[in-house]
Amino acid sequence: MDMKRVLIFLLILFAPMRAAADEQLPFPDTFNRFEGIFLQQDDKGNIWTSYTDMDGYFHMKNVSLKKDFVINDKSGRASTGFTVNRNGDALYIAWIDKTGGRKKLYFRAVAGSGDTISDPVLLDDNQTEALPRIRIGSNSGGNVYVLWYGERAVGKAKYHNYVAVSNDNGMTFSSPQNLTMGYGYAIYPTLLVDEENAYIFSYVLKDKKFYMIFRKTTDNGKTWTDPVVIKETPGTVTTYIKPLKTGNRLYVFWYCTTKQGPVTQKAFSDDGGKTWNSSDYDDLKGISLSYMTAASDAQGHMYFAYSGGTMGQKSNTYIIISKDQGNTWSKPISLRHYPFTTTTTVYPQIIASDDGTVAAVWVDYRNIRSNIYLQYSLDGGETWQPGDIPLEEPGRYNTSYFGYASENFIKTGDTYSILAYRLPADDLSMGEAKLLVMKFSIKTAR
Amino acid sequence: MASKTKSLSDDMGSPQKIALLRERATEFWTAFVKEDYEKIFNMQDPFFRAKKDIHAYISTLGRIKYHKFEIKDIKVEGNIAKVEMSLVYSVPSYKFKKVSFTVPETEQEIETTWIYVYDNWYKEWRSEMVESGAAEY
Repeated sequence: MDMKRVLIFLLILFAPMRAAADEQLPFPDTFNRFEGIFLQQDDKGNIWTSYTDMDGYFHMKNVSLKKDFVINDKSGRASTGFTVNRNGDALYIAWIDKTGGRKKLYFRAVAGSGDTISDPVLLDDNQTEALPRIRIGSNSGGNVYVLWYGERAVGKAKYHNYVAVSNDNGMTFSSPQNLTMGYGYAIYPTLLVDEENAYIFSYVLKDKKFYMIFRKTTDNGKTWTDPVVIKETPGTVTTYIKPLKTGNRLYVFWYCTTKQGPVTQKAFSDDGGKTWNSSDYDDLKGISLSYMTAASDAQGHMYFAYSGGTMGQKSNTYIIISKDQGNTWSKPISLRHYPFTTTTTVYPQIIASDDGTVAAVWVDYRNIRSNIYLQYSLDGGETWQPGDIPLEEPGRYNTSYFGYASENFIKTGDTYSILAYRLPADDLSMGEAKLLVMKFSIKTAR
Repeated sequence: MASKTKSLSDDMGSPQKIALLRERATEFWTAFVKEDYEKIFNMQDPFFRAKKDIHAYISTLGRIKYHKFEIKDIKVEGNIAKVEMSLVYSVPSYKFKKVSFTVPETEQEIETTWIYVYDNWYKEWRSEMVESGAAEY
């Protein structure tokens, strides 16, 4: 037998488990699958899902208590760019209303399992001409940071990153502050917040050169450090900028296209962002990424997952692992255990736990219809399961999720939950879809 | 005769799955020879059928007549297969803007793509104009 047949035999031998996930379909109505979806659990144990319906209304649903809040009940289709952040028992929501030619950035908070919902707080009344790519970060000190980019020109430079900060759990906010003054073209606002500080990473243009720059606040948003150039980027950075903190080390990943081909870069700082050590992923030179994400655990393991491939190839999903806080990295390892390269995989999501368990899910087209698949490791990515585990009956439905604007994979206790959607038919051009929550545990998936 | 009792989506390419495809491909091209265009539509992939009206599709068929076919080879990789075959076709005389066309019986080797979608093999519909299909995988 040749190697390919041996591999096929082994894959059949280790045929994956079926329907490892319990499914909940708590949403009878269709939703707009081209907007972000969010899945959170608050510290009271309530599961929250958030989505935009077909009339443009953004819903926060407490699935546990069957409560539904419409966040933009006065604006509907005029709203865009919804994002959600959780802190304790509070959920923070920001969005833009475009009415009468003005772009208004709003914020609301839902707290106490939904017992209280704040009135909308207007963060910016067209002052920055806010655009939909909003980030929220928060900590238990009551600090809430809302970061966005606005298209209003400042001098000759268009597109800047702005922040508004609250120190009272989102009841009141500071005026917008431009964090990319002196630069331009800062179109990918990127925010990281921990219990002490907040950090922003901005891809910016200055004097016809592009840079990745860094700023932080150590006084709850009152002042920000001067910009530090992490690196001059060799080409055009895309929407994929992923920051992470592991121990005291700040880490950031980004992907850019250059005249010589795509490059994925990374940088870390051990002195709070004063100096940066940057490098390329050599194994990813020439690889076009369709998605990327990263995670870490308390043991200093880091995991960088991406979907992509070279020109003309179908996109596959890989993981790269570091056991030393990102000093050194493994070669790319295919998360997908499938012998053929004729179908696509996209949107890997990973959760790393401190006991060395790594769970990865992705959207897989091996069954022509898209299905959600699972792989996991119990030893920090050293070994993986011999077969991928479908979380549903293979090929029966078109199940997917929109990776870019979503946060839809969480772990609570031993249970993993992923918010996905199913299309009502095989006409893939339709925007309407139905949400579902798929739950599984590694124990039951074995 | 091959029979299908459960989904073969997980099947990487067993003799049973190949036999089922041979049966389906034979059925499909026999329908072309017999000009059973409704059957041909129903054997196209479900992504195409979800978008295309059957009557609109059938109205595009019939200009080319198929007389014989032979399946030469089948290569299955999971849920995607390439079927190599020869077929004999002709185009009876017809006029298009004062220009007359006709093609005598001609033998041609072709390769077609079939996809297994949950319950069976389906012929993947592809637009020759834009070189893309309705299924996205």
